[in-house]
Amino acid sequence: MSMKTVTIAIPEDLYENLKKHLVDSGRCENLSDAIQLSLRCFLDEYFNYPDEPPGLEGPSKFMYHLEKLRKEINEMGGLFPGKSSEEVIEILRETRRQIYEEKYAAHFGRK
Amino acid sequence: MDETSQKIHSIALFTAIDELLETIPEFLLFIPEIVRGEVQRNMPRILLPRFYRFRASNSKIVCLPIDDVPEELISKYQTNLGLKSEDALIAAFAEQQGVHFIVSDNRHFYEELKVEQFITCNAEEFLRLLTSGNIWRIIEHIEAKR
Repeated sequence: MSMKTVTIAIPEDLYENLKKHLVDSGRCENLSDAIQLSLRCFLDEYFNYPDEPPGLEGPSKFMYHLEKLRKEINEMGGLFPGKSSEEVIEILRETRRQIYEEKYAAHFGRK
Repeated sequence: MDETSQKIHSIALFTAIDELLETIPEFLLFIPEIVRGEVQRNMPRILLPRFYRFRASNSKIVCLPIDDVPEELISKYQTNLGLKSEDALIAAFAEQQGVHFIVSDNRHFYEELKVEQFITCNAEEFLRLLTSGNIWRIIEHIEAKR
């Protein structure tokens, strides 16, 4: 297989996660292998199925996927069934707080 | 604002974003990494492929890391303006990136955060500014102050 060498910058927490879960655990031989595996999994799971009409480009693509997303959420009965907008905002605020504590508080010296 | 109005405004906001993506070449929609994480954690796994295809449906929807936001900017929003750490990080990100608007239905954000560097508003207010055309004057005003 022909290979292409690319230089990429990734967030530090992503690097640490890749290293911990895929390289240090022995699942992948090295970081390059880990990145390849991650990209293949992501593309296979999220993009490689024929759901999009051929030739769909630009803003129509945005609305197409937005409508699909809305429809799928509605079919599930909503993302937060029975919750008011204020309650949903509180759930999202709590999630944001958790992510901040897990990923950013130490990085920004606030822990 | 009642729940129905809020839903209608959210739907209208996306329609407006669609038009902005189509008609304004300079328009960019930034999603800070922490917000992408919020969505991912609260969305059922079965819907994530759809979410990511929506997010990747236009190259002007840009998801950016926030690790390199300057600490002094975070302190400005946290210490001087009283935001919680996580909200201060998003406000600092907005200033770092030079955004003109933060659109959020979280009232802690749009009611409390009033600065010169950008406008914080909810979907309804953003749509009102866009429909009236005042949005362009506001952008000029923000640019003039930078």
